[in-house]
Amino acid sequence: MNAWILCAIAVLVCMIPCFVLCIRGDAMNRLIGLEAGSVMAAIVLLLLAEGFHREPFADIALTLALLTFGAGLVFARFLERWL
Amino acid sequence: MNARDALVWVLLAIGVLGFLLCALGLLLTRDFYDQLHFLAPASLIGAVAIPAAILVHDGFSQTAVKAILIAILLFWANPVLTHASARAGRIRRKGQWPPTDNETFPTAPEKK
Repeated sequence: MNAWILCAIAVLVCMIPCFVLCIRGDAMNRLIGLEAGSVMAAIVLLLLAEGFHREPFADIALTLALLTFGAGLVFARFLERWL
Repeated sequence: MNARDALVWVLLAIGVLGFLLCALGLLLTRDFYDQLHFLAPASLIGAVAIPAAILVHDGFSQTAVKAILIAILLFWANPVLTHASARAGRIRRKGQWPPTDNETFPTAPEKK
């Protein structure tokens, strides 16, 4: 186990409050939990790609970071009135 | 441990502290607008310090270039997402984004 994997585990632990928020809050709190959790998930994937020396796996983190932005905007737009 | 390794460890620690601050903030606050503020440490500190650590460790490798792209993307997306979420929260509570007719806002005290 190297420093990158240790950091990935630490960031995974930081994701627990996001899960709690997604389970317990109202609709807007859940949106916040989703946005914070998505950022952390992208960084965890990046750290794991570096930790296991698998350079192509960083593509998954990049894709997730791109999708996070679109997903957050779409959820926020629909939560304004329709959900 | 040389200076480069030490810098990598420091950047990783700063990054994890950013995520920890975000997690604690989300856990300890209840109001939606308060929680919005704690999205910033994750995207602005954590998501920049950890790609910086990868860049320092590897130089301009394939992973480091993708890490820089991720950092730029998350850094740029955070203010946009925060504004969109705040707007959505206000429209859900008040029914519209512009101030209503009878709405008053707290103002700073005038300087004498």
